[in-house]
Amino acid sequence: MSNGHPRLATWILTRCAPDYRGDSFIGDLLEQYETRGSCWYWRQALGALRACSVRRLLSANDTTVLTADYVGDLVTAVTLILFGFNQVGFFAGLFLYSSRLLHSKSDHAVAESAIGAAFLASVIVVHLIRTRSAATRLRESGPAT
Amino acid sequence: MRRPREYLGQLELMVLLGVARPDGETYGVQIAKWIEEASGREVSLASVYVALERLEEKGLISSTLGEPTPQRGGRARTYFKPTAAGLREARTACNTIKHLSVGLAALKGGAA
Repeated sequence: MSNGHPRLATWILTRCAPDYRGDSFIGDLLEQYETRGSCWYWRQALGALRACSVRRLLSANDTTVLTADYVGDLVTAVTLILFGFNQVGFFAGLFLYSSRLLHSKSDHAVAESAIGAAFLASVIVVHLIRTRSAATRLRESGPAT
Repeated sequence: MRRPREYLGQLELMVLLGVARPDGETYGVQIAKWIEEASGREVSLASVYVALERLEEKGLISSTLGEPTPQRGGRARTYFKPTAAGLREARTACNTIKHLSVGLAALKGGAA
């Protein structure tokens, strides 16, 4: 075994992926390290962590899956809000302003906020529907083994 | 009612064919190497292990633990071999692909 192998990657794998046929997998990585190098080693280690997370998620109980689903959706929602809030509000405000429906800058700001809030609400509704359908899906498929 | 049989994924089939090879000892990194040589693309060792685990769950392969070696930091290799059901499944899958690709001109000559 090479002494120069990425110990951090090995340590992370040992800690985070112990059930992932851990010993054989790490042994395979160490065996190949000298010929393939640390870049390959890290790539494989990260790939294992990803695969292990997905596997854990699939074999986890309903609460864990729903929590992960929720977190994933929340990240998507925040991204959408950060990007979409400005874009939707801006273009809607511009449209209303150019249509001469709004006459002052403060009206314009209020319209932007209202449309942004409506967009935010729709994202939350979509998120809730998705979480609910995930829960239904889980109930129908039964507990994971 | 009989449950329809689950099809093997592309990587699962490649891994099963790797396990079924008569030459050499079949363990994770060796199977990954064979797939890389045959496909010309790098394959993640983790994906190979996930596929191996799925195949084992389906009863298509079995595994045994080897001896730990210093080269592997005192860790043992896990060796895999196909079961009778695994060999049957590999044969069926290969025949299906062969039949489906007969007469497909687009697959000949490398034209996209």
